[in-house]
Amino acid sequence: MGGGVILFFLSVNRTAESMPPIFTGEVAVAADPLPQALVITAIVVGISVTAVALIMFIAMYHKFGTTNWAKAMKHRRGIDIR
Amino acid sequence: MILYALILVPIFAGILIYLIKNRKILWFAFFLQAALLGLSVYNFVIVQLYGPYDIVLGNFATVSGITLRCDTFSAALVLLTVFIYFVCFLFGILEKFMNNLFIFFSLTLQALIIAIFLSRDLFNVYILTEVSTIIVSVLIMYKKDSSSLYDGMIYLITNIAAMTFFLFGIAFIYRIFGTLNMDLITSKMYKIQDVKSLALPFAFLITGVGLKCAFLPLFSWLPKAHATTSAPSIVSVILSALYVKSGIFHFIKLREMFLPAINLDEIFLIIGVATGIVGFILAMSQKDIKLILAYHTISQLGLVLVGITSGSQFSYFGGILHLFNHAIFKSLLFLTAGIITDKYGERNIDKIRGVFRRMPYVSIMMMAAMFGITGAPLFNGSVSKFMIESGVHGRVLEYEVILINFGTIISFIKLSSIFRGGRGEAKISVDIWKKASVTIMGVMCLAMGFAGPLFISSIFNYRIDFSIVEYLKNMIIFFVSLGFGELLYFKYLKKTKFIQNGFSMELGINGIALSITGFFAFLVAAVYLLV
Repeated sequence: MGGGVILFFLSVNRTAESMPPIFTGEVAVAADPLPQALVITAIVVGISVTAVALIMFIAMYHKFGTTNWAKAMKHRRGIDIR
Repeated sequence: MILYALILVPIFAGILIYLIKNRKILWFAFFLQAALLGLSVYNFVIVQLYGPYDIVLGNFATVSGITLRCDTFSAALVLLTVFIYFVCFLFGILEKFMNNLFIFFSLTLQALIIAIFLSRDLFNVYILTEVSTIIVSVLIMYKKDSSSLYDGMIYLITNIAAMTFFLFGIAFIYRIFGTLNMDLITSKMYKIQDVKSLALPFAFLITGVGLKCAFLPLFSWLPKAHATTSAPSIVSVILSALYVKSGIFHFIKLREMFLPAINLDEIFLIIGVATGIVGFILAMSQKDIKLILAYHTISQLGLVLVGITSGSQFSYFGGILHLFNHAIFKSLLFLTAGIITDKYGERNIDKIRGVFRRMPYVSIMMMAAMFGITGAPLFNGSVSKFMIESGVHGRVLEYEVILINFGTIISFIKLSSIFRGGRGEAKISVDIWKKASVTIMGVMCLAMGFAGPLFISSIFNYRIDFSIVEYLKNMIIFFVSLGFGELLYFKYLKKTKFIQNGFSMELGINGIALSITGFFAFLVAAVYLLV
């Protein structure tokens, strides 16, 4: 889903004849640079969030001994006050 | 400059504290909070006197730059954030868990929350929320118990999914408006001819924010995250009193932004009432003291939503006042509950007994908070609930608000059973810092009862005509529902299976994903059918 968002961002405001927004000397319709700036930030954030999530997942696997979410949920329920 | 200082100083101070591994540094963090409190009061006064002001980062044009805007509402929320942090640091000053890593995380979170309140750039809001999500999930699983690992994980995953929706919405908005500045978008909104083209961005953005505000189908993550067994009570306070408010704040802003084109207030009104009712029903059936409080956060958020979307200006400001009041009494409740669970080593309210005899002072303060949340006369909750109620006077909605309050009263009657008993048991001593912090919040509970209307009228420049007769009528309603609630609880509800066994409506990750998608589809359909 994250990949979809990034592709969508890049297609925003793009026309067929637009050029990369890098100064080349010739006058052309430059692509809007702002979405690209946003996308690179979104990618960086996405990577770091994924990294944190994976680390947490590993820690959870060590504690629960399972990667099955339903089993983890059952395990968690057992700790609750009843 | 003040805004930069408010955002950057906590982050840099946090890094500094993390690097200097010394126990005495805690005092530095505490004095830093005091200084920030002074600064935010100064900022609030400036905004009151000279009106709102903008700062654009790096002096770019407003269209493409990152704008920080400080109006009186944001300034008041910033003040609230720093104030509650100040009280939390006072509370935990002798605690073991307050080491430099914990302080680093909480200071960074503080800076992020302040920045979320000040930011007027949609993408900036996305980044800040995403980073704060990571920090919050680290704080939830701070002690690495197996239960808190699960809670933190589910929190992280659901919130990432919701923020992806938000990001999608931002892309659509940028495509339509060519800017991400919320004020500029608001001013262009009325030009939109084809309202249906806004359906997707609207639904994407509101789904993202709606999960943060824990609206009806999307609240499953909240109780676990806010009441996680192992996190220190300070974390619960920060999450429940402050962090949820950032979601509600942006819901208010987005609603205003889309209002010229899309007005779905009636739908949100129904969602708000349903959230309030489901929140207190689930709270009633819990036995864990922190879970009861966490479910009440959902219920009160529903009430705030009712106030904001009811269409009457009086209830709108009542809803916003309730936002502030909720932060105050909920943090007091979590702090006192933290003291009680620490001292008893027990979270089950059936097993905690005799709190009043053993810790009289803490109990009195906890009762002040309970009076606040149930809307007892003269306490802060009563004023905001009164405002919400009288704004919708004569509509069915008024009775629904009374019903939500009635449910709140019943579940707090249940919670107050911890005060009973304990004859002849030894007193438990509580250290002076905790007592001081709890006292500050208790006094605020009472003070906001008197100063609440003044506070709102100074923030929004809106004159509130406060009718004493109506307020007295409200007092009578409170006492009738208190008596009736007591009767109902002890005669009937206490023996039912529902209260005895507990009941939870917890969704797994698949259920949560389904409910997010369902909520999104529902919003798109609502825009197509109703607007």
